[in-house]
This record gives sequence, structure tokens and C-alpha cells, in this order.
Amino acid sequence: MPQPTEAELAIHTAEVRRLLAALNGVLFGQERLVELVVTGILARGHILLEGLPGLGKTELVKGLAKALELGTKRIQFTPDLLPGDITGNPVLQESNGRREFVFQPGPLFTNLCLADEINRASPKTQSALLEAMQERRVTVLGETHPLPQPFFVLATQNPIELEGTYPLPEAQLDRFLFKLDVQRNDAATLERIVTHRELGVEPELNPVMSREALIGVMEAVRTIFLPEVVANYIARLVDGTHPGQSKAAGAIKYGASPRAALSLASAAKARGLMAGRINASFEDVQAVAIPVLQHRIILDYNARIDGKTNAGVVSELVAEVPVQALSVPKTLKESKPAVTA
Amino acid sequence: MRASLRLVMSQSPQSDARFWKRSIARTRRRVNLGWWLEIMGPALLFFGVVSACGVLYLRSAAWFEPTDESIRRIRFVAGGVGGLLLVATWLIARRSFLTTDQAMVRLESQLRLDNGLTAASRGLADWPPVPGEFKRADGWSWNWPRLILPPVFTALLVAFPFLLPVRPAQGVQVKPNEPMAWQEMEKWLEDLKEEKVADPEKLEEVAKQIDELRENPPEEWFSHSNLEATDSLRESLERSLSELERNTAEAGLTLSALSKFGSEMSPETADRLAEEFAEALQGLETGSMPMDKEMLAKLQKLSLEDLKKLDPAAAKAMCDKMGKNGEALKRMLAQCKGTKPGEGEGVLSEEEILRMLGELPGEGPGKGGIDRGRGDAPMYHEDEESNLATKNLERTTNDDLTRAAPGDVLGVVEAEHQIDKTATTVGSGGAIGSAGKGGGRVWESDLLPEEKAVLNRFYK
Repeated sequence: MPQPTEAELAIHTAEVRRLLAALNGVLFGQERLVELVVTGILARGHILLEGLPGLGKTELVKGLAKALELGTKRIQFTPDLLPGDITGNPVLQESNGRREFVFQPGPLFTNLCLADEINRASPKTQSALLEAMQERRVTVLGETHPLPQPFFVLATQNPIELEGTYPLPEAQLDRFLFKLDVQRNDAATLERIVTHRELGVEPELNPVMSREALIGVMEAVRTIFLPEVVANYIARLVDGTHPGQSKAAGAIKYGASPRAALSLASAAKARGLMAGRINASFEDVQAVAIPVLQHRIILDYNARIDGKTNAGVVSELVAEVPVQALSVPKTLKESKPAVTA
Repeated sequence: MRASLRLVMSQSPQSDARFWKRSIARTRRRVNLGWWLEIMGPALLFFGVVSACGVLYLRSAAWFEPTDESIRRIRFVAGGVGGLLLVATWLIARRSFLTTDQAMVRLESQLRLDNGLTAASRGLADWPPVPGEFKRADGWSWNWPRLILPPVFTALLVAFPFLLPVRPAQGVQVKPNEPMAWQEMEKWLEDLKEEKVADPEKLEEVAKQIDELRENPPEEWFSHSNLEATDSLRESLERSLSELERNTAEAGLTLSALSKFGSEMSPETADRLAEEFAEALQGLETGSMPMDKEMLAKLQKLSLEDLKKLDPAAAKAMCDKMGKNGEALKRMLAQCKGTKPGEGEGVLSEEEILRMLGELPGEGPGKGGIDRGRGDAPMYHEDEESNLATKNLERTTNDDLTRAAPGDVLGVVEAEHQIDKTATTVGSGGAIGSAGKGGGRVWESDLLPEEKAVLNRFYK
């Protein structure tokens, strides 16, 4: 696949920046979250948003759907939700004097699926999402139905109301490109929200990127150059999540999978394009390391009791693993470059 | 090498490319030099230790003479070894050398250029613009203590043996003592020369022969052949001196007789004495050790008539001189016989050698010769063994307890172990007193200390 020219790259970057600006106009004070969500979308990944109610998770997804001119459906996950409720069911219909089962697509058949409070559904229903998220298709009664392109699942979950919830299985978690923690707003942002928003009234948002343009940008992301040294860094970073491979991994019981490495590379490429670069960089990998890896590692008992968090351990890992595996003579010592512009 | 980079704002992509390539090459050179210096440090120290040992050895070696030529050679060898060391360390360090790509990645990661240099080197993007002026672009600076200490220690190591007060090479030359026979013969020759007894030319010849023996390597001075030659020379000198003494004495006697009683003697007797005197002179002239030429010439000038008419005072002086010479020769010959060659030089006498070979009877048991008959050997068989009183048992007592040794029996008492003699009976097992505490048992008994610590922290 040919790499985009500088002009094409500039066009894609401009489109992405317009999208970012539109979303930041909907969701105040969450620039970092918005940037990561868009990064995830461009990297063709599914995103798990975790945060307290009312922080704008659903609003962000709805805004994204509007800005991208994509079809969107919302599934409110509950314990009694059945797999067929989301994938669709065959319905007996009569046509031309014959009665036959006709597949009635479920809410998964959309571009942007908002799986609200995903951890409230039973494991059986959660598992119904596995094939849809990985293969981007649904199989019902032995018949496979491809999902529309592009297809993203943006799931939300509430970290405090754990009564009657089913934690997502590891296999399910691994299919999410990012797990993003939605943080509370500071007072200044709250003031902006109060000033510019009204309860019960949805903010107006015009489409800024067509479906075709989005697919074009996503294709461009795939052609972004991933230098060998960056790929090596990703490999060492993921390898470092396994016990015994790094100091930080002392708190980890199970490390990240190869899918994590692919996710890191894809997200780094997307971030490179968003920055207007033709290549992914160490900085891109570092920027997406926590959202990509934090839900893919399992901390051991002692680390959890000691109050360590997944994000904290990944942060330690990023600080520990050098970007370049380089042995330096002892006749030289490390010192920060002093730049005087 | 400069530790800082002075950058200027670029004007064109070409100049940016040139600048970054230069910076990458400089980083690479710096790191590779660092590797070389690191490997060279221990090698330099090794070189210093070897050099110090070498210098110390040469300074103390007896065979070494610090001439210009030898010093030039040493410098050449040291330079060669140093050069080899440099090449060897470079070859070893080369395995760790930084590649251009590695240097480039280092530079872009340190300057947070988002891998722009890598992309530019692949031709995918323009070279990043030069940001301004900065120092230590590669994020490394020289570790000066690590750089300086090895050469300083090496210099100290090389200088150290020169500062040590080692005796000069010629001062430590250890020459073995030469055989005493040479010195004795030289002393005799000196005495003969002083007394003007013998012909100086002949004396010189003997001295030359001694010198020839001395010119042999010192380790051969006491070789069998050398000692044989010394012995032969000494015997030859002794014979010559003996002959000279005999002829001198004979000439002295005839001269004395002729000068004193020449006028009163019958012509036949005087002729016979004159003939004997002439024969003695002949011996003194043609002998293996001729007489001093001046004296001999004076004596040869004397005819029979002259001898008869010789002034008594002159005759007496002449006779005295010859007598004195004869005395000196006798003295020397006495010395010759007093110290046989080989005596005092570790050479065994003939008697000692025969005794060692068992040819002569020795002293003490077992040391007799082959015809010694029965001797008392240190151990031998008899009808009864030697009574050494080793089987006698004697009772020893120690009444003074202040001098008792550990293990001495002080007394004997009767005693018995304490045994429980109570009769045993059958008893019931009874019921379990404690039913256990469920989870408490796990908490107290089954958890590992670190698990307990974790739970303690959690429930704190």
C-alpha cells in the first residue's frame, strides 16, 4: 500500500483536527479523552470507557456519531439481556405463500455501537460481542452476517456500582483497543458546562467528516511508517509486562498478549497521522501505552493490596524500559541535552 | 572532542540534512571513542604493570647495560607493544561500536524529534529543522574520572620503577671468587718481580697464562678442565722455581767458594768449580724460569781469573744478593708445598676419597671398609631382643592435686541412674478439649509470614 504524500497527509490531518475541535466543543475539559477516542477510532479499535455517571461518556459517543455521519445505536446492557437481543434473531415470515426464517438484524448492525454499562450483562451476552468485535461479523444459527463498515464498539462501565455486575472476561477486555478512564471536571470546566449547556437539551453538532473520509483516513493510518526501532520498543514494552522481564512486572501476575503489541503499533500510527507525521514515534507509543496496556495486565494479590493500579504499573514500566536497547560505555554518562533556542 | 554542538538555524532542507548527518556522525564517533577508551583503560593498566616489572627487572639485571643502543631497542619494543595494544583494544571495542542508525535514533530520542531523523533517512519526510543551539545533543557527557584514572595510574606505574632506588646493573654483578691458586701464583710472580730474581719476560708469560684462564666465563672457573690447567700451571711454576732455586744456590756456592778460596785452590779444583759455576749459569739462563737478565749478565762476565781476583766486598755483595734470592725462592717454594692445589676449595683429598670408596677402614659401626670384618651395625639380629623396658607397668600416683592433669582418676564411688520405678496402668483417652477455632487456625498456622503481613496491612 503506497504511503500518503505530504499533501494527502496534510488533508487527513486537517480533517482529524476538525473532528477533534468539534468533539471538544461538545465535551468540555476532556481534550485528552477526546484525542484518545479519536485515536482509537482511527486505529480501527473498540474503546472501553470507564467513569462515574454523568461525566459525558454517552454524550461523547453521540457526538462522535453525529460528527462522523455514522449510524449509531445504543444498547443498554442489563442482566436479562440475551445474545439474540444484540446480534439479531431469525424471524418466521411468510412471503409468496412460503414461510421461512428471515434474519432480523440486532442493534449491533450499525457503525457506532454504544454498549452502555456493558458489565451489567451476563457473560453469555457479553460473549456474543466477541465475534462481532474481533471479526466484525455475527453468526446466528450457522449463518454469518457481516457488520457494516466501519464498525466500532464504544462500551461504558461504572466502576463503583459493582453489585449485580459481571466483570468483563479477560478475552473480552483484550478486544478493546483502549480502556479510558473518564476523569471528573475541574471547577472552571464545570462553569463552562453550566454556562453553555442546558439539562435535557442535546448540543448541536454538524457533521465534520463523512463516512468515506473516515475510511480514507483509517486507510492512511495503516500506511504510516513504523520504524524498526519503534517496533522493537513496542516489543520490549509488551515483553516487559510479563513477570520476571522487568522490575515493574514484579507486581504483574499475567502480562499482555501479542494483540496488545499490535494495538500499540496501530494506535501509535494513528497518533502519528494525527500529528501530521508520516511515521510513528517513541513518543506516540509512550502516549498510548497506558490506555492500551492497563486493561491487559492482571496485577497480583500483593500489588492490589498495596494499592497499586494497573495504570500506575504501566507507567512504571514505560519509565523503566528505555526507548533504545543500547549499551553505553562507562566513559560516558547520561546528561540531559540543554537546548537554548 | 567537543561535548557540545553549536547549531545554527537552517536555511534549506539540504543544510538541515548536512547538519543532522554531521551530528549523527559526531555522536557515533564520540560513543565509539568512549568504547575504545573504556576497553583501553584496563589494557593500559596491564601495560603499566608489565612495563613496571620489565623496567625493574632490567634495572636489577646483571647482564643488562643501559647503552644508547639497548635503550633504543627497549623503546622500540615498548612502542611496538603499545601499538599492538591500541590495535587489539580497537578490535575488541569495535564489537560494541555504535552504528549510524543507532546514533541517529539516540539523537532523535534525546531531542524528542518523534523519530523524524529515521523517517528522513528513509526519504519519507524532510529532515527536521534545526532547533537552535544546544549542548550534549546525544544526552551523554564524558565521565572524566573514568577517563583520566587509567592513564594516570599507568603513568605512575611506569614511573614508579624509575623512582625506586635500585642498585645499578654493574653494581649488582656478582662475580664468583676466582680460584685461590691464581692469586697465589700472581703473588709469587709479583714477589719474584720485586726481588728481581727471575726474568721479567718469563714472569709475564706465566701471568698471561693465568689471565687466559681468568678470561674463561666465571661459571667455568671451577670446571674440571680449568682446575686441571690451573694445577698444571702451578706445578710447572713450582718446578721452575725449584730449578731456579737450585741453580741459584749452586751458582752462589761456587761463586762464594771461588771468591774466597780461589787463590788458594789447586788449578784443577778451581777449574772444576768454574765449570760448575758455568753450568749453573747455563741452567739459570736456559732453565724454564731464567734468572734476572741484569744479574745473569754480571755473573756471565766473570771469568775464572776475575773470580779469583774479585774484590771481597763486591764478591760478598754478589753472594749476598744470590743468597737473598735463594732465600726468597725457598720461601716461595715452602708456600707452594704448604698449600696444595685444591685445598680449601672443596676438593677431597685422596685419603678422603679412598675412605669414601671403602678402601680404607673407617670409624664406628657400619662404616668400615670391605675388609672391616664384623662391625656393629645400628640394627642387627641377636638371640634376645634389646630390653628397652617398654613392657614394664608402673603405678603412678598424683598426691598433689594442684598439679593434676585432666583425666587423672581422683577416686571411685558407687552410684545408680535415676529410674522411675512407678508401675504403669491403663487409662482412658478422654474427650477432645478444644474443638478448634475454624478460620483462626488458618490465620495463625497456615499463612506465610508475608501473607500475614499483607493481611495486617490491609486490615490496619
